[in-house]
Amino acid sequence: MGVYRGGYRQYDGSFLPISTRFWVIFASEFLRLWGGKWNRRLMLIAGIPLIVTIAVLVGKGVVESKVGALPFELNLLGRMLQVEMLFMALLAASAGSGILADDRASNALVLYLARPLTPARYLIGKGLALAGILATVYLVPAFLFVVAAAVILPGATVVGVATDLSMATAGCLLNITFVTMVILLFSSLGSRGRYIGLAWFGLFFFSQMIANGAYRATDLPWTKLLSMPDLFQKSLDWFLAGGSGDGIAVVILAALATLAGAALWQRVIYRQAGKAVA
Amino acid sequence: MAQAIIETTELTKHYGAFAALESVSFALAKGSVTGLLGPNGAGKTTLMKTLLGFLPYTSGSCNVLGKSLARAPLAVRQRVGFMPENDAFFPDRTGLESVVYAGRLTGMPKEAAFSRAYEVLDYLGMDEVRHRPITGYSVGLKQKIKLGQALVHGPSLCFLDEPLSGLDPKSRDEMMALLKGIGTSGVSMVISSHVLKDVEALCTSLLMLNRGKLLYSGTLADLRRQNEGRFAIRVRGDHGKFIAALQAAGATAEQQRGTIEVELPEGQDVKYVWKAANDSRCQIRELRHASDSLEQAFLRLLDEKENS
Repeated sequence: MGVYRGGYRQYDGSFLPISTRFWVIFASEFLRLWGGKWNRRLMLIAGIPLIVTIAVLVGKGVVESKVGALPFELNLLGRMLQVEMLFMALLAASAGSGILADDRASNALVLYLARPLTPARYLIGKGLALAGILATVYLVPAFLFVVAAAVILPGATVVGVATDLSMATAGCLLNITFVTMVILLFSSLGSRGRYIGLAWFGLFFFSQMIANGAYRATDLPWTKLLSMPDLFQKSLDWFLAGGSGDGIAVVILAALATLAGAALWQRVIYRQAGKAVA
Repeated sequence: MAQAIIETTELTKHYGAFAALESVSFALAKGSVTGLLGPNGAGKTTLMKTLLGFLPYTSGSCNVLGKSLARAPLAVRQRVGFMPENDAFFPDRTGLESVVYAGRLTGMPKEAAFSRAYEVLDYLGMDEVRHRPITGYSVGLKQKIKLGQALVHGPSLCFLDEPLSGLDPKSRDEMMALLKGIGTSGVSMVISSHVLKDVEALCTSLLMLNRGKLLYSGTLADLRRQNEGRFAIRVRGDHGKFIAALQAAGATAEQQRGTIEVELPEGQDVKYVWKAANDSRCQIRELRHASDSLEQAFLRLLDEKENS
């Protein structure tokens, strides 16, 4: 008999521990972003650079098996990730811009906070979901490429593959963390996702224009670090080179990600949480 | 009083220098359905949000469901449901998905959340419409989904902010019936409303606030009992003389259309009225206790507080 005819009755089942609640947000939000039409298209298109790079890798393997090692370094992974970075930026705008803004627009924050859930866990769940989606066009191709290289290229060792994999993962994760923090911060500023997406997109590409202009005007090499794509690439190159060379890009990205995280924390946990329900 | 479901002592909430709640002390019995009343800016929303643990209070103490709100806000919210006044929905979800998600956020396992969401939506009378996106819902359906979200985890205490606002008469009756059903099942409810008639129909006890101060806390019956010294009288004869006779003896009397409203001095009983009628040579045709509507009682309390 339906409960409607039987009258209202209480739930007498069990509950999972409070500490696991952010996984619910993560899983639900990840699936929601995964199901987005444009997000899926971007994720599909982002597979093309991976396929092309693996094809080049196969070609390289064939050539090397006939004429020996090539006299120049191709840095295929670095180049591939340079292209995938653009997809990550696009996906961040498409998937991430509404991640908090939509909750503000539909007044959902009050529903989250009325549950046994802290603002911090809410934020962690949302952040992990966005980072997970970004990883599908950035970290996952890197991972697949390293594995493909280990299979295709002769002479690959377990240690070598593990090192490449861990360095590529660390580099990708730093970039993904930065983008996630900035997008979450942007998304917490308004309730209109599309404008937030445009703002992020503008920041990403205009920073390169500004950096180029500043470099031409001053000829100072550090001005190139004003460009977000260059900053990402330099940071990633540092990781892919095994941590050798100039690590200033890594330091700057990590510092900016921390700053964005702190601003987000202050905004959502100390201000917005109170404001949204007040 | 039976075991208190909410107990506050000298609860105070300040926004800077402004006191939104000032030394509010009350206790609500388990299973009670309480109306939270007050004019705009009285502190109703602040009180509700403080009791939900959204807003930290400045001083005093507050226990909800036997737990200190300051020490265990999450444990309290585990057993509390909240239906906000404004539209509040998880974006891009159907009605069913929204209720399931609300249950999952409260810690219900997936299967349990689904089966419970179906039960609650059945109870709310939402059949096929549950599979449609909420954005296309009417106001009545939106109110029901908000209620479903608040009830899915089987809370012991529910805060409902204006649950009947914006509903057409049919939906209003339906919602009333649902709320009454929930109330009789033993779930304690605190219902904030501007519509006193709704509160009168639904609630057994009342909290009245004005300018952050508690005007009244108690049962509706007790509030009405406060009218024992007040009468509504119809007389035949010179009304003016009768009123003058009552006033000369210290009572408050005033003409209200066809009846005369009389408030006797403390300690006096109805014989006092008969004597005044005799003195003014009036014939009493009808004499009954003046039963305040909730609205009148509320306004009277407001007046009394402001005069004091």
